[in-house]
Amino acid sequence: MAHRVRLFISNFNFMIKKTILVFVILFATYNCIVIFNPGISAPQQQWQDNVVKAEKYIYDKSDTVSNVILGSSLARLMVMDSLPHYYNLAFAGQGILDGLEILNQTEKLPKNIFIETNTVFTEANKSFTDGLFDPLTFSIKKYCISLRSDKQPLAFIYPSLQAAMHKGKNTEESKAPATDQTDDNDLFNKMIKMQIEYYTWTPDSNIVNKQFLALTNYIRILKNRGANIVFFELPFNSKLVELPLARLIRNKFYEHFPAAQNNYITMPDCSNYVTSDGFHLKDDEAKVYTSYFKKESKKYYP
Amino acid sequence: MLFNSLVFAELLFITFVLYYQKWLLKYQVLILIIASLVFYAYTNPALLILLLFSAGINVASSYYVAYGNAANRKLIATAGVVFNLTVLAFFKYSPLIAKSLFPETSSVGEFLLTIPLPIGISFYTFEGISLLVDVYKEKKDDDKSLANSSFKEHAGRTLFFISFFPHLVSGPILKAHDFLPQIKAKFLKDINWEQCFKNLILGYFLKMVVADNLKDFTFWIAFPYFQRYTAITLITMLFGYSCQIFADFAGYSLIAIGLAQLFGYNLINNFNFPYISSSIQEFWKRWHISLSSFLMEYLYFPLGGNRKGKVRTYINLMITMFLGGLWHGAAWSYAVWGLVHGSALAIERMFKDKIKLGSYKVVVFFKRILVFCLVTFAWLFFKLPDFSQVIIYLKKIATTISLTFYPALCFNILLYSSPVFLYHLVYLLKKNKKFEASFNKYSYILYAIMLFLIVTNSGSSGSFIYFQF
Repeated sequence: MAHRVRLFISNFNFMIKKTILVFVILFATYNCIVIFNPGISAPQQQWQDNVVKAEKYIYDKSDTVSNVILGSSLARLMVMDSLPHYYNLAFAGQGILDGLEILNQTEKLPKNIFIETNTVFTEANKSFTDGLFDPLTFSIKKYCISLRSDKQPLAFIYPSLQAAMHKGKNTEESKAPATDQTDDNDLFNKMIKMQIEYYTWTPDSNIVNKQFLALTNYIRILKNRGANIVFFELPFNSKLVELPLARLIRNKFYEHFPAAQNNYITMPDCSNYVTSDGFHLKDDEAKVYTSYFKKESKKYYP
Repeated sequence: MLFNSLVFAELLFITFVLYYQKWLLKYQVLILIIASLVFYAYTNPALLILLLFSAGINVASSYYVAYGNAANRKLIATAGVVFNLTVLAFFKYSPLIAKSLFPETSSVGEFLLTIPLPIGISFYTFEGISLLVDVYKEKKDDDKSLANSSFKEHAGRTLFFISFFPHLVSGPILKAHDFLPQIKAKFLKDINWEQCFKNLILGYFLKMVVADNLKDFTFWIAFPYFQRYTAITLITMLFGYSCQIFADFAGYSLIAIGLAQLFGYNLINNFNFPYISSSIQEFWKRWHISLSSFLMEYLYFPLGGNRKGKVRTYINLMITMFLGGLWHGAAWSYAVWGLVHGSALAIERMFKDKIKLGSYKVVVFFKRILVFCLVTFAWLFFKLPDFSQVIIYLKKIATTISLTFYPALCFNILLYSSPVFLYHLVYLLKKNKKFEASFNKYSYILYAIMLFLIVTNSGSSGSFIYFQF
């Protein structure tokens, strides 16, 4: 057998052997850089940001964090600098089921789990959670941190360039805009119109039951494992708050998780929140809501 | 099953080990057929039924064309081609027919909308057509046959030709006369390891590092998200998408070619540096070569090609590109995309003899830029299958011209697009013998960097764009 393997390898020509040798040198060097600078981290975009957040929780934080926020892109906007003892596992473009699945698969649970109730019909992203907990990659990433998503070498180029270009300048001035246009009324009105259409729609009862069944199962398991659950609804544009879909979601939550036996952080008065597109809070609104959330959550778990 | 999944690596390893066992030499084709069927059925075993049914009809009809009653050969060949086209039309275009011809409430329309699109159907039905046409033509012209005289042997070879896993779901589209003669015993010592290695590294790099990363940045081209960006960002995203679709499909094709070489088979080179083209005609000789040559051989030429006068040539070009566009997907925007290319080809041909720009380097350079821009803007029909959204996108570009842009997004798109530009640039520079010699001498460094980035910098795994076709 060993002879056959040797014969097989001898078929590879010199070019392949040299390539593999250079690769090994590059990879080893990069590993050293990452090992000696474990704090470096650079997610590049939304999807990667979700993976990075999840990996950080799974590998680094799950043993120590006692408060976790689960949700969608809405809760993701909460200002975490004001919530130092909380970990935000809310994923843009995904729903609460993904966060629940991550908690379900990690060994140690946080003491308190805060669950956003605004968006419940986003299907679980199986490829996302399967990717995180794939037995092979999970073990490799656990010990080889250079393979984690926030350590991609090309991701460091833009932040490094930005830092070099803005050296010595006022950081506020040099900040890049998050998007090209923030105050486009025409676009905002179009988005509100689309959201009104969406919130007027009522989903098929099979879909509703399926999602709430999955949610109920997760909550039961987490409660059995000793976690405290708190539900919260983020404020959104007042034109949408009382539309059929918003009311249906609210009522279904109270039906499956009655307020008498479960903890809820009441949604604040929505007339103070315009939002950027109907349901995503603007930066200043997110700050206001985060302070409200901080104050309210202390009522349950000081 | 994706080429970049662990389960595929396991299947490949097992197949490779068994394939080159001396005692299994006479079962090599059977081993590859079984591996291909497992590969195809992995996510949805029910799809096998249609693949096997389609292959079965092609086996029977091509065998009859080769060895049946001479008087009926043409009829059987035509019936076989019609069968393949019917299968393709039924499974691929039912939703389009439903949306275009039936009201929303119609039960027929509702039924048509429920018909699933089997993966790879556009590829294997075209290969079935190629088999029938090639067997018929060869029999008619030379009285030889691609079909083996033993029906059992012919069935095995045909099923292998149609289902061979490297090309099964996204091509390259094989032609029977290129592939069937290659079927014979293969030996480990005959593998060109360096070529395999280069194709696989480059293919996986283009797919996993370039295309998979770009896809998360060009995601924002989707409606309604693109409306929040201004002209520079919108144009950058579009150019990024142009590089993404190239990296995705050329990457897939290179992986397919590399994998086939591991088993001793040569597949047609599907991409030949298309973004250096200085005319649309040249572009189509370099982009998705297996499709364009298929359309030319089996559609454009039978329509009369350029042999029936200028007007007929333009019409033939438009018909070919219209159907070629529609081959990509069941939406009118794909047909419009085909028509845009067809019109460009016709206009180019119309003015080819009238306007002589010479072949100065600067002229060629600007022609290349122009062709690249046209091709890139046409990709918008791929990304936004709703025609009205394409108009909004273009309007948005025209009405938001300013220096405001989203730097992180634009920078990352340029960063991940740069390998595509470098890939084409190296090809051009390699025309200089001195450069080529030094490049070849040190190319291992480049391959090592690509391998390093595959391991450390791959994007989130996504299906190949051409899977949907």
